[in-house]
Amino acid sequence: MRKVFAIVRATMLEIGCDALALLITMAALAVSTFAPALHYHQFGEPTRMAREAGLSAILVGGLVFSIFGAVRSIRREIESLTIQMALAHSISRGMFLAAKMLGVFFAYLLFFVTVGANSIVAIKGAQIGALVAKGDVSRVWGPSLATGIAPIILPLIIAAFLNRFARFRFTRTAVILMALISILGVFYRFDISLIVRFFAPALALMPLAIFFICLSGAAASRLNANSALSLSFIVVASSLFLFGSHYLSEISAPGASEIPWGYIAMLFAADLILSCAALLAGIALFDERDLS
Amino acid sequence: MGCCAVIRAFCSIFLLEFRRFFRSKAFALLIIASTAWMILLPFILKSDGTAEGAREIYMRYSLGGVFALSAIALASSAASSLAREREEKRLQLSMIRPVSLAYLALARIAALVFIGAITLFVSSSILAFKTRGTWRNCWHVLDPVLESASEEAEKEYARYMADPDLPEEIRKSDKAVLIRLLTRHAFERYEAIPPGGKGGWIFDAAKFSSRPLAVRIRFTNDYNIRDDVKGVFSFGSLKGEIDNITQAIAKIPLDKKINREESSSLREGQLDFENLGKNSLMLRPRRDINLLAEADSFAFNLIRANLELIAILASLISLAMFLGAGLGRSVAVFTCITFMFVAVASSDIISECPDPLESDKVDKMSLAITRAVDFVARPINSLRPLAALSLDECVETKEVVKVTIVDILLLPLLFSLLSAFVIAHKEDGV
Amino acid sequence: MDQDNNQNKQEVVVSLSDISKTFRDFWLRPTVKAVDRLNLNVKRGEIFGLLGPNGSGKSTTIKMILGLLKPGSGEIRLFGKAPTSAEARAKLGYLPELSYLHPFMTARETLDYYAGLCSLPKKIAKERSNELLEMTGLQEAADRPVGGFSKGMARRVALASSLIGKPELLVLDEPTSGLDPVSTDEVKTLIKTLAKGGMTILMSSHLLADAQDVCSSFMILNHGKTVAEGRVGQINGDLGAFFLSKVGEGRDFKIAPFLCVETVPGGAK
Repeated sequence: MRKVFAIVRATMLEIGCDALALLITMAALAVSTFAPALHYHQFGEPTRMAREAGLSAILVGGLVFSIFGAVRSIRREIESLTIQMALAHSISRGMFLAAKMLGVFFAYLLFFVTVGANSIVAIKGAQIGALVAKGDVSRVWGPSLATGIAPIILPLIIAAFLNRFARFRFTRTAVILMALISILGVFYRFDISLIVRFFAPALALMPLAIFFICLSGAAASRLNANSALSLSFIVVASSLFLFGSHYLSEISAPGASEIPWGYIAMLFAADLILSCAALLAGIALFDERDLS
Repeated sequence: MGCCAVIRAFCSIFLLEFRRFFRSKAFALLIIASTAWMILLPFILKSDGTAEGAREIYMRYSLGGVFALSAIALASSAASSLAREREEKRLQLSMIRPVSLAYLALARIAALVFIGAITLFVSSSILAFKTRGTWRNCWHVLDPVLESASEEAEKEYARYMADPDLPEEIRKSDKAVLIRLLTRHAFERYEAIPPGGKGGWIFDAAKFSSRPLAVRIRFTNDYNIRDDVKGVFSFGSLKGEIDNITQAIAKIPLDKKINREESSSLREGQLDFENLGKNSLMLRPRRDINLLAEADSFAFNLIRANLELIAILASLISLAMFLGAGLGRSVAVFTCITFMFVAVASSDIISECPDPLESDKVDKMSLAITRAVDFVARPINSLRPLAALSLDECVETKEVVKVTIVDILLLPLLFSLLSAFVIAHKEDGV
Repeated sequence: MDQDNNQNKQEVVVSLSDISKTFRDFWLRPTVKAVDRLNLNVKRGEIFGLLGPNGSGKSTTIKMILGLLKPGSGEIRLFGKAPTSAEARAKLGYLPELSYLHPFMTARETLDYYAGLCSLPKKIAKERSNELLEMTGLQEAADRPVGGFSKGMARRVALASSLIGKPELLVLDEPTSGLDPVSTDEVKTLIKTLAKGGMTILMSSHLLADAQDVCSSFMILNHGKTVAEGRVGQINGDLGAFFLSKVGEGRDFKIAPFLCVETVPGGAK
């Protein structure tokens, strides 16, 4: 167990220090904050717009995060030959691969919580804005934008400050601060029902990310980085094209009183089977290859 | 360094980049994916059910898809090219040779543009083959000679301000914002021709007088009103009749001679319309009516459209190369692809967004940024040559020359110089 | 004629005066002072050895000479010109510590690429490629991608590509690193042969025995500063002993107690 924990921890730290992880998180936060603001005049349902923008950011950003995270993390080990050092420490290839994917999943979890929490802040901002604006639709997004910008800009400033004066690692500090500030925002006017209403459909998006972590990790154990990324994104694009509309309508349609727990449980069960299959295929492929 | 020496160095780097792309199997994948897209697209496309509609959609989306695929593949490759060389420390071996650093970027851009050109050439050949029965000559599109929309907006603004009943809120608004609104309004202004009435628009068609001419009108009203449109267009000694229109865009050939004595009211250069229908004809002069003059063959038009697409591709590749010179590989690729998505989305955002006249400062600022992005990225998101090709419009040579000079010569040169500057000042790669 | 030769031999090919280099982080805070007020002259035809322990500033000095790094202060002249000038670079060859090659290219294509960057006409490039492939014993493998080469073979390709432009100054960073004894000997012989042919060679190395065999002059660096310099022939005895006397014995490694295995009858505990 210690071995697995060590690899998981190293993978999380690696992804935390990756500038790309920071960029993807920032982009997802920006989408969850700004995208609804661009459409409010047409629809006039600010809270729904914020909720849907948050879910989209978790879906698309999460998939990009998981695929890049898994592929880069495994390819870097193989290409820099650090994998030889790890495998020299009596750990099987299968366990190594599984532990790496678990590490990527935990990093994804941080992303999920950060963007989810920020979306809740944006929804609350929309609610407050709608009250303050009293019908003046141009003022609805003021509070939302203000609270939405905070988790993007503030962490960068604080991380730069800590890097300059206390030699903290910039990227890792910024990623952690983004999560902290977003989560802190959730406690302002704490509303548990809002959290449940948002995170329930968001949870339904998680199996997709878990599956793609396993799939792209498996691909990266055998193919080079570009091929593994291309393959993963082709599968993402085609699966969203084929099943996307059904999947998204199932999870985003229900209102507050009808969270589809059964559907979410079914998704996790199906995901468990598919992810295990991808993982096993990855292990089988990885066991066969030469590492030099 | 002599000219031959420069060319030799340039060719070596060009060949290196070409081999890199070719041997990574990316080239084969790109060609296979493009070919598959071109061949399989008709099976998944949904058109309006007419052969004409299917042709138009196929023309637009087949090459459009290949362009998008090439843009993503080649821009990613460009973004990772210099970045990878630097990260793997090979760049230093080229940097110590007697060759300008700008060539290191410029030759790579040229190689990737060449690959893009091959991909587009293969796809265009398939397009030409698949549409061989429907090749038609293309047409120059002439807009009516009107005062510019901004001039009209200025006049309208002066008229508004002179109006004592104008609400104080509008009077105090920013002039630039109002002018932008009025300019947009000028494009959307309708002109009505009542039943039995006449309308006229001037076209500068002197240089096309010896060519076959036609009128193109676009209907934005409902289909059930459209079939009542009936009338005669006349232009100089030519006329064309319009009756029972079914399409949203109608092309009426001006191929019948009329007696000039009988049409003494006609002036050379003026297109007249006599409404013989039961309803008023509503047209936006700046959008809905054009005079068409026959240009040259479909093949020439396809070549010009390809040249323009290659030029747009070159500008994207150049930007990506510059990003790769300064940033890490994956960050450069991510930034480049994000830029492309933002570029594509920016025009939608602008069209869907309300004007800042009624919004707050944050909206104004973000819209200003989006407008700037849209301005820079307009060639990428409009993909004008594809629209022209599908509508049998001529991709004008003048435009192609302009785009070629800017996008194939100036931008790559500029970005190569910027890349050279960045490489020379970055010490982490050695 | 002899006078000309002597004058040529006195010509300074590389000159560094009062060179310092401090690396800085994003906030421009100094992180490490790699080179501190270094003065160095390499004359034509010399084999100059830049010696020193790890982190002494050898590679930084070489990269400043090549124009890849800019010195913080001082002046560098290469053939009397700035190291970034095309004229100086045209006379330069460089073999880095690791063989950074494009894995998708064959050995022949690699040589052709660098010949192109040196602007050699196609015909001459082809002749030289063949000569160098023969010299490095790579004719058989000339058309295989270098990505599949062993470390030694990759080193030979890198060496050949550094020589393709027929440089007047060859800069070698740890030229024998990772080579087996036979290849090491071959490289040393090659260096001496090239120097006899009039090429100036500047090499860095930790392997003092190699340096003693090959170099005519040397400089020892420690913590970015010159601690000794002179001609190899003037040292009484072994260069290794001289080096240690200047740099120090180095006692950084201390064996951790748990690594001390007691050997007792019945096996190790």
